Amino acid sequence: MLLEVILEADPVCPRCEKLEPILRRICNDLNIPFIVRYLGNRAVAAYEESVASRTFSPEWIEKYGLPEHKKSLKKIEPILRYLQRIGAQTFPIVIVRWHDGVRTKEIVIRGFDPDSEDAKSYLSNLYVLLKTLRKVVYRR
Amino acid sequence: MVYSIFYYASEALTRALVAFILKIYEYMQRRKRVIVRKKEEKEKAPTWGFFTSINPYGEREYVWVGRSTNLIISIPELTGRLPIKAHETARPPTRLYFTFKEAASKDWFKEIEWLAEQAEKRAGKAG
Repeated sequence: MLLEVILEADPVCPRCEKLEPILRRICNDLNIPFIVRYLGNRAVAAYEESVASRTFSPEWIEKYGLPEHKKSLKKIEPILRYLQRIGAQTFPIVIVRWHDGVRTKEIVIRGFDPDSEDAKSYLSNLYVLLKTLRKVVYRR
Repeated sequence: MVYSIFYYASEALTRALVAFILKIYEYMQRRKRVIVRKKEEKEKAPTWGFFTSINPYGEREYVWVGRSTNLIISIPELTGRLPIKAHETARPPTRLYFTFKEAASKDWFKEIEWLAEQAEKRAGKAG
């Protein structure tokens, strides 16, 4: 039986700071293990292949970026521009991991905006999902 | 002539005798050769690190003893595999990715179901 919630967070990310206690409360309420992983500068998050995708600004890469960044800058520049335009966030990443008897499954949700109107529905959706999964996993 | 023959013969004999005596004297004075070997120092028993021991229940366990701290940790040996199927890494986990906006929308659960179905189909085709 496996059901756990992992929060991949940055130590200096205010959004992660706000999400963590709420998520911890939800998990405590549902009796689900909750783990917080603090990822530093060069740690590779759940959905990433390398740290190069962490930095969203091509100008920053040109000025201060790592050689890895600069190497792949030409290739990823349009993607970075797009991510900047839509205001994509890297952290926090919520990973809901469970095993349904056949294989391990994961739901990876990226980003959280505590000030937006969607925050409430996001949290309620997450609560419902965890509650359902809890029933599914601990049924047998 | 005769004198010289006797003379030289006796001199040679004397020389040989003296040399022989000297040789014997030298041989007696010779020191016994003593081979001095370095004493092999026994390796000291380690006082810190990993040790294997058998606990009172008769099971093997690994014990870590700290070097500068008094930390002692014993780890029991796992004789069999854990009976949790989720720990098997034979197949990578099925991952579904969402953004904050997607997760906050009303149709999120429908989307999850649809994506899960697609993933199952793909896994079925592949495996």
